[in-house]
Amino acid sequence: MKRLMLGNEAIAWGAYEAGVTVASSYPGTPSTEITEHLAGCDEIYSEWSPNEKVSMEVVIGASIAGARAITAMKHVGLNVAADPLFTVSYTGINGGLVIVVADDPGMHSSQNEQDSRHYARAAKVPMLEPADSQECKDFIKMAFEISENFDTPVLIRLSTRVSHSLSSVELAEREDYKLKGYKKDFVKYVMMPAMARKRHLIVEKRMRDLKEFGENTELNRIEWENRSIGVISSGIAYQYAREAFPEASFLKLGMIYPLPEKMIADFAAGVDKLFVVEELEPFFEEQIKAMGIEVIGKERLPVTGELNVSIIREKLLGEKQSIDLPFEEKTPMRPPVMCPGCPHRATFHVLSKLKLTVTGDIGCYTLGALPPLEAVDTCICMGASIGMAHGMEKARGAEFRKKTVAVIGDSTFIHSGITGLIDVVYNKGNSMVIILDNSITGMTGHQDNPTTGFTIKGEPTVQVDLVKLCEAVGIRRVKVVDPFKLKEFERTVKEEIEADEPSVIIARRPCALLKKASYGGTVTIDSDLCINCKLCTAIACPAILDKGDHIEIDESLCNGCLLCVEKCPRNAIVKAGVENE
Amino acid sequence: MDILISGVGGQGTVLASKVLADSRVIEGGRARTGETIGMSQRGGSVISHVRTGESYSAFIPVGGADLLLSFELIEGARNISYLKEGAHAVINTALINPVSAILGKESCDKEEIMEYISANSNVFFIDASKLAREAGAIRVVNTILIGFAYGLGLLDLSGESIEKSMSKNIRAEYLDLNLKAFRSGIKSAEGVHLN
Repeated sequence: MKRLMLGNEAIAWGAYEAGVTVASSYPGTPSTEITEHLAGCDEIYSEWSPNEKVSMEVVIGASIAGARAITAMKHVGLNVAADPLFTVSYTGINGGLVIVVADDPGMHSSQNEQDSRHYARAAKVPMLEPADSQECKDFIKMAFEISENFDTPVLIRLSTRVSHSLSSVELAEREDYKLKGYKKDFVKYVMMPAMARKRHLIVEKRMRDLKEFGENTELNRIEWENRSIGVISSGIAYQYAREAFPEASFLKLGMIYPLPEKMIADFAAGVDKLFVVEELEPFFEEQIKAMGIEVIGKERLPVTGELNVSIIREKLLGEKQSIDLPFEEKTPMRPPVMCPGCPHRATFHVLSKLKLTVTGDIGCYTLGALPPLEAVDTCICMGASIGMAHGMEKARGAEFRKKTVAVIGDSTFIHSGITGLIDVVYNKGNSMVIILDNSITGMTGHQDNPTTGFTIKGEPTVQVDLVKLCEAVGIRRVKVVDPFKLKEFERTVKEEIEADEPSVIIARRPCALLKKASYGGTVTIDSDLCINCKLCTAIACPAILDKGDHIEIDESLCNGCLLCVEKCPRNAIVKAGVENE
Repeated sequence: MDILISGVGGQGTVLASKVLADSRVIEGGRARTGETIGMSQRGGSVISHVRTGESYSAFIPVGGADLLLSFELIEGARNISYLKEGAHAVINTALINPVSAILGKESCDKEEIMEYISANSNVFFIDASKLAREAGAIRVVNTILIGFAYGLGLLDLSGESIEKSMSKNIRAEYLDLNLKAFRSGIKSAEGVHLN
């Protein structure tokens, strides 16, 4: 049976067919759907864990206990999980262990475009890269075999365009995988210097064996066509290159680390001119050049952003695409915005009004940096806001601190904000932190987390109490406020920021897209009362249109959250249908 | 056939691309799509690529699309360069103001945009938002446009396979609404001739 599937769904199917029984991940675009699909299988224990490091440790435990286990994360998630990765490379595995990492060239939804292939080399772990949904499924199954045959974790590299493209996949039955026996083996699993030194030798031998394996595996293949041009490529870049060079010969790499050097040398010898087409870093190119082989790659192709067929044709074949449609250049840009009814809009409206320095974090609320709110000053990584506010205080002193606030979402706070907060308390900082508690992990599309009280499968569970958690680490001032009560929220911010001790405000209001937000109806302008003062436009709601001489509400966008009603000094914004009451 | 679908986050471009791609698969053919998922869900520009037949990547090169379906006017103008010489565009005349325009920083004149599109493509305009509201919900703009394009004979897919694909990919509670919208789109194309 063939089914149209996203790459991410195909990854989950591959894991299902391979007999995986444990999956643990933290959501991150473009990897999130993998674990969501795994959670749909009754045979697989799946969870959202607090962060990628914990996920990695959970699947390492499951593997050592004898199960086939998988974790999926975005590229920056692997930074968080890098610590266990580098050492599980030494211990090796028991049940097969696969780590999926989804890169985001072009940064569709990320803060950087790092190339995860470097992790394979740095941690000395094999890495596979599929190019479409069928390969996603097939490669996952092969990855589990490689993992067990070579006693190694295996990395699978995806990119946004593979994760989020639909193509056909042939399905198969689930393998009846028998749990491997568990045996205490401290020489293998306890990495202290004496044992780790021995394991490092084993790792080096394993990588030599894997290189040999790469020469013969069907994961790597040569497609001989016209020999005047040869192209070495992998993943989505292969698809673009194949389309740009329909007649060239190709070496398509499926196992992208370690590289099959002999195969590459043979291929290079068989063609007149050799191109390497890869997105982001010259990862293949540098290794191939180190083999003494002449190739053309990044001297012509960009190291930034995504590739596409047009770029490859232009840079490698000199075929300039000439499109002259000037209007497109000036069509108004449409960056993402906070949704109508978004609780963050109220929070940032107040912070912007008070002209505070705001250390920001990762989530929908990063959009608070954009006009017209322009409230957020920084965004580095998950959890960074709190430590950075603390650092600013230590650098510039109390006066600056009284104008500085850290903002962080509920899920991000659990991910890695709590450690920053402990640092503030322990080191006698006085930072003010606002936890934007919208009752969900929003940006990645509504995943549960430890503060929501539900598991990935929707089962009720223990809910982390944010107030008690903050109190437990030593915060004495914890306030819970609804940011939509603009005056009360503003007063609380002003009070707490003046305090000479650390404080936390929990700005609590559910994401407007959640059912429990339950807004109803729309609002409209009472033109008799409206004086066109435009104060309502300051909240930057996409449903409020400034028409110059008057204000209009776009009723197709308005969801009746009533924040603008709170803002209007003349009570000129009313619920639609009740103007005459 | 290469179809580019454009719109604003929340308008259902991803679902529309899945419906079209799966229609081809139902007919025993090959299809793939490329989606934008993530930041763009928050009211940003969204495009989906649908490629049926022989292709390697899921992404249509600039100047390579046989058809542009746009659920919103500005997004239609933004993506004209994807069209092949002489290829058709089917564009919703409803305009969703971008924040930059709401703030009065950029103007977007509907007439000017429509003139530009007409001058640079072989376009059919349709007020799909109005038809969608008449059919019962603004969110079926996507299936209205699919119906309209099908009615014009611009899709090399059978109506039967499109409806089958809709019943496979749209949740049961919204299926009737969408089938109604699809047929309303087809009806709007009656008497309209390809130019």
